[in-house]
Amino acid sequence: MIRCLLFALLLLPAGRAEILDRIAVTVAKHVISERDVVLDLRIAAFLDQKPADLSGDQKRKAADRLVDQYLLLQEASTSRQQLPTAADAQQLLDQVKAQYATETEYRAALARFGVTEAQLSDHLLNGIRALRFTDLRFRPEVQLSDDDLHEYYDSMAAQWRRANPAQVPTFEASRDQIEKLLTDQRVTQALDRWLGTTRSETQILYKEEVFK
Amino acid sequence: MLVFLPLLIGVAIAPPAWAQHDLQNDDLKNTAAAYEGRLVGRIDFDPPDQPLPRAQLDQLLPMHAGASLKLADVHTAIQNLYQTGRFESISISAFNEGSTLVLKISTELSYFVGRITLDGVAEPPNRGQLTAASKLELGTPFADNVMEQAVQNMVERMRANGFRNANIDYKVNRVPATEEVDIHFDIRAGNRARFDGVTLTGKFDRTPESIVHATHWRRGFLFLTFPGWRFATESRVAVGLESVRQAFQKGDHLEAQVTLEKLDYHEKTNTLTPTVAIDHGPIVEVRTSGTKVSRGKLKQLIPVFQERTVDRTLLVEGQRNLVEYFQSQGYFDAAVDFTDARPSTDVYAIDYSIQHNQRYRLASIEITGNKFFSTATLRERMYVTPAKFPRFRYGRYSQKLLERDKETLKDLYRSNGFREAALESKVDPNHRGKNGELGVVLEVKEGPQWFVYKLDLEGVPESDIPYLRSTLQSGTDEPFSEANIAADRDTILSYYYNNGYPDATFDWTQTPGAGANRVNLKYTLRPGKRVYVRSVLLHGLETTKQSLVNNRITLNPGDPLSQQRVAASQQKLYDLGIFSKVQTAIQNPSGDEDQKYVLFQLDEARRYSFTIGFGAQLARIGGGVTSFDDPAGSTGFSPRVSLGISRLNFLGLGHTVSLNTLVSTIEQRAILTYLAPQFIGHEKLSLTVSGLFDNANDIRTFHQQRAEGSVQLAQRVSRQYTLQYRFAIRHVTISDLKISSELIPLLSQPVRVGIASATFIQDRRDDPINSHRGIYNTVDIGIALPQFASQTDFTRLLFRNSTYHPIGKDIVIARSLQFGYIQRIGGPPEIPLAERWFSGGSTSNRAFPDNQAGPRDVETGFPLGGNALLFHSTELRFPLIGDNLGGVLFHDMGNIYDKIQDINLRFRQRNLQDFDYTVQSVGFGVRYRTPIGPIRADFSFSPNAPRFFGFQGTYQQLIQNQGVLTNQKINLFQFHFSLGQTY
Repeated sequence: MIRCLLFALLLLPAGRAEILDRIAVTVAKHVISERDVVLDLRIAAFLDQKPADLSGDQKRKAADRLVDQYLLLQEASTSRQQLPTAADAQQLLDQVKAQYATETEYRAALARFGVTEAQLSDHLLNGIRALRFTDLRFRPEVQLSDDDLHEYYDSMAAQWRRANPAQVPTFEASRDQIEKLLTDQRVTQALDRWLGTTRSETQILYKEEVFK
Repeated sequence: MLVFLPLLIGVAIAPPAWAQHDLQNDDLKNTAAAYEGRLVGRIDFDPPDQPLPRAQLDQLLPMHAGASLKLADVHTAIQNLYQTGRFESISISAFNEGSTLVLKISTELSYFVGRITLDGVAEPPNRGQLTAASKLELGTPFADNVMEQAVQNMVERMRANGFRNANIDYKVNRVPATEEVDIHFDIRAGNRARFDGVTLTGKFDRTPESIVHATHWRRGFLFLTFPGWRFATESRVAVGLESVRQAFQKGDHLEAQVTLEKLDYHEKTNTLTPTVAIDHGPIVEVRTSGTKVSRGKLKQLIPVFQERTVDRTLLVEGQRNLVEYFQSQGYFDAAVDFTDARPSTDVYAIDYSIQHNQRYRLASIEITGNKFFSTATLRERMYVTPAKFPRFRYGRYSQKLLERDKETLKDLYRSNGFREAALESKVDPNHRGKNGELGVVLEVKEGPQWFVYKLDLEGVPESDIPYLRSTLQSGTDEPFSEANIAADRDTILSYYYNNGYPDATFDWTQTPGAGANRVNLKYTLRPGKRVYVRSVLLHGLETTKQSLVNNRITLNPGDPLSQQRVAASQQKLYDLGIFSKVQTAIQNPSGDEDQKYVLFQLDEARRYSFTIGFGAQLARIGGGVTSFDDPAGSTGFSPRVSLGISRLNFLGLGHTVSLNTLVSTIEQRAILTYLAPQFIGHEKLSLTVSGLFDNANDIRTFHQQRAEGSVQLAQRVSRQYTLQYRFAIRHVTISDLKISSELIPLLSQPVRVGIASATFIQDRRDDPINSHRGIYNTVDIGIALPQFASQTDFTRLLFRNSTYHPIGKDIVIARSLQFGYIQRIGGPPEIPLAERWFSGGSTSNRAFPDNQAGPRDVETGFPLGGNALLFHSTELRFPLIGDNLGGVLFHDMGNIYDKIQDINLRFRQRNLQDFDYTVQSVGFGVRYRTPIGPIRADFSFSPNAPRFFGFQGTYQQLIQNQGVLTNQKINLFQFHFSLGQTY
């Protein structure tokens, strides 16, 4: 590791400046830096175990995700809802670790993606906090009537019929599943509406040079 | 959009096989990580000149020269710098320099909206409207991309005002020193379009001509229509549509819809044709049955008239209003019902059926159970009033008013610690067995009074505690109430806001205290960051001297940023009277920085103002001008025209030069005034220099021409005390004497008077326009001497003392004493006529017509004025009907006397040549309250009004002693009409 660092240092010519970090997006007075965006992509790649794509398009998508997450967590900070803690994030982290045969393998993977465990833990914590808040904030808004469920069942049944006409469950048999799916869909729609409104009311500025 | 869902699901379902994939990728190289832990040798800013001092910048950076670099600090540094609001873009880079690392922080400045100027404005729209349309707010962050929208908005405003070919260019000038953007708009308005006709569509029952006439878009005056059309402006379009709507509403088409469908523009002729869509809707007939209600009252009470629509909610509200109205008229059992029907598509019939049986009189209000507050204290807060003649014949009562009063009293108790206070009311419709009399009993259940046992202030600096405690309403052994806490919250937050803590927050908690009904209070203050004034930036001064403005701004660099001082400075600038708008803002309002610019955007008012006025005087001012008829005056009518022109902000010093003229049949006057308010920088001094020419006939005895120059320095010592120092020199010529000038040659000579005088004013009245309590004293002392170029030498003293004494809530006794004395000290043996006192009339003794008091010429009976005056007046002012009409009973006494020795309180006039007695008058007046002060009408009766000799004949006959003496008198009854209270 030390050898790698020394090698990297030798590659840096004296007097040539390298950008350590810069503003990528601002959400009101909050800065999302280029390093935040790249780190998000690295962690996503680590979790997906795919090569990280740091292209301009992917950076913009990551920046959008971080903006949405920031807006949600800001809203959460003004609410009195009980949100997940670091202990909850640790459980999730343990699940990630469990995918690896040994601790050494896990550490090596983190190093390959240029991610520290603390960064991964923060990332997971922010994710589950935002997820939990979404559930608390928008799920109570969803009210499903029998007509809604029947309509949704009809659309699903049509798909199932096309796939396997012999195994189409009855409405009653699939009611719980239908209700859960439809609720999730409505929560997502409510979240989308809220984010759309909040984004329009917040000054969000993208620094285009970062996304080229 | 649940963006993190895939991430979390990915964690849960990721196949174990992924671990064997080749994950190496060049993109993952994290070269910046190579700098982690390196020694920082230097930190440079690019450009080196930054908007914040280097020391302040260093405070914002978590990394320092000589320390190891942590990459996490780089992000923190960017966040901290950005949060100041001073930077639009920030990038931190690094390079090696020897064995250490140099960090370079590159910034791009943020800019903020500064001065906005406009050229080529053709009103309407005016500058303010155009600036508002641009939505560029002073001090807010500026971005180039907002300009397109700003121009578009302004062009839209221009087009709406008939400038269909308007073009607007702009220039943006960045001022890096203050990070301001000055924006200049160059407007090429073009020619304003005119209307050229109106297209009417829809359903309406009026003639198109009458509708077009109602728009006032055609040229015309009142009911006359001239050829051609008016210019099209936004307000003219709106007013035109509203006028058409009102025209339909007058015909009971309450729901008439009149909308502008489109405005067709004809480029060749530069004209506009509005298309107006009309749906006149049904005729809404609102009727009452059971009793009669006037049309005007119905319009007031039934909201369908105001809302121009008919729906059940409004009809129910109208029903409630009618019940309320009849209850307030004494019909406390009034019941109102309504029906609405559509007998045809063109008619909407609404019928309110009103039933009221007996008219009640609210005979009494009894309050029981009150111990803490006296009944009088509670009663004076109540709107419900028992019957009292003549003001409230039936009393003032309705269920709604009673409920409102109960809430008011409950709030009073609660704000004094009676947290469980409750009020119950009982209404007896047969009070004391008397039919038609109503009695209201209010039972107060006070409950225990809660007190504060202990008050803790948390987060408040020790040095502030003694002061704050002295201003708080809650404290040990003080009543505990949420109203007091709310007041304390405002007090504390105002104190911190005004001392540079704009983000201060306040919270409070309560816990049980030691002892019964005791509470421990804790106020928690979080002052937040203190913000100071970086500098004050002024914009918009064109002709005004900067020093004039600087002297009015009480904020200095380094001072805590106080909202109160910003507002006070703004008020002082408005007080100069030379700015039409004074806008203030804090630059970079949401930026997290210690020092902020305070911005003042000043719009200088128009330099010239013109006034024109028309009026008339109807009083005892008539009678022959050249004859000896009516020495006491006869009823005359005098139309008047006044014209004024003022030049504001003369020489940019905030001074005003004005010329005011008045022309009427009895007076022609021109006065040129130079006013220097806040003279030589002293807020309490003002200097006035004036020149007057007056040609007056208002005294029946002679015609006078007065030319006068004066200079006055006024000093406002305090809110109550004012001093005025004055020097005047005047030349008065008398003509058209109704007295033989040969008989009084010394009285009637042209005379020049140079007089130095001083006035002391003490004003402790609660309301100068309509005083209820207090005192008003003035003392005016003057001396005319040869050293002042005076041809006649005398001293003059005029003293006035008025006091006002309230009796109960509504009644006031007001009294006023005037005493004046002129003492000759040299020059001609008599004081010239024009310098003598002429008085009597609506403000001194209402026994007389104006200027008719005092000695008279023994032959002709015309007033001669005097050298002494004494008047005393007493008024009993009381409410008459409702809240706006009041009454006055008065007694006036006094007279003008030839000499001070002649002052005599004698009632009886000894003979027709005796004027040395006190004329008495009593009378009755009414006052109608208006926003500009009460309108006054007084009727007086004088039992001892003077009688005197008049003269029947010509001037020649008078000189030759050939005329006939006649008996004349001042009418025993007099009538006076004017504005304002008597004193």
